[in-house]
Amino acid sequence: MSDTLDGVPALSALRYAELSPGDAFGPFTEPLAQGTSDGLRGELGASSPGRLAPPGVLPLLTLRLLRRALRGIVPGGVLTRQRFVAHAELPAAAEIVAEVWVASQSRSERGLFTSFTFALHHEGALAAVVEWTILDPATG
Amino acid sequence: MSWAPFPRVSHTVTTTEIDAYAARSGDRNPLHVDPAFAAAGPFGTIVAHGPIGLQTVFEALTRWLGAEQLPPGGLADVAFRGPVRAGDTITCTAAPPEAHAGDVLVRAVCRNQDGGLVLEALVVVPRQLAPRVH
Repeated sequence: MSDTLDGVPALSALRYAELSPGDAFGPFTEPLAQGTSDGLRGELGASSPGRLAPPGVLPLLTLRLLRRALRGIVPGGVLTRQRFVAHAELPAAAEIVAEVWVASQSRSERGLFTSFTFALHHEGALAAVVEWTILDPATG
Repeated sequence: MSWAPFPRVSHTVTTTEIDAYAARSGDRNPLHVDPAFAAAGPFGTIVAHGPIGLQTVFEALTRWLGAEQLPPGGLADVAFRGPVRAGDTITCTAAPPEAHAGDVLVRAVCRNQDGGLVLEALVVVPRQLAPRVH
């Protein structure tokens, strides 16, 4: 995958506590390269060719989209949950258009939980919906 | 006739893979790449990105289905329960697949070499796509 994240900071100045449910980001265009799909088709480190994007593409793409949305990765966040729903076939090489929004937030003794939803479109059709929940242990 | 068993898949995670995933995903969260920051964090050391451990589930899933991707109508719900460190060997196993609301459900878990729970996953696929044994 070419580094199309050039110009997007590696780390965000935002904190999860500064976000609110309903905050929306995008749409973003995220290219998916054949080589990226092939490298996630089986065991990490191996590569095998294929026609469609393997499931491991979904967390990778959404991680890149999260960095775009928050203008960097917020340091210290811990991934606690991911949910992937497939709606249509996604080719191994594709241009993805995605919207990201903050779905919910909740606080517990462990910290602040923030959930994001990613809607991934390909050629105008919804291909997948991905949900993430991230724990910020520093914010209770 | 019953559902084919979900394959068992193991993988040993390396620092090289963590660094490569950071580069490919653009996630340079210091928990994954900065030893000093990670030492003061909740795990006391650098940990792998969650999807690195999850890859064993996805590898098992595509092998089981004989398909390249999570098929339309399918879903995977994953709860990350514990960290994956460089050198850990992650093994994905699953209970026998079961019928669920007209689909087929697989309950998978990933554990490290010490038996520590890394993640739990529920995978649901359309019934007609789930492989059977005769």
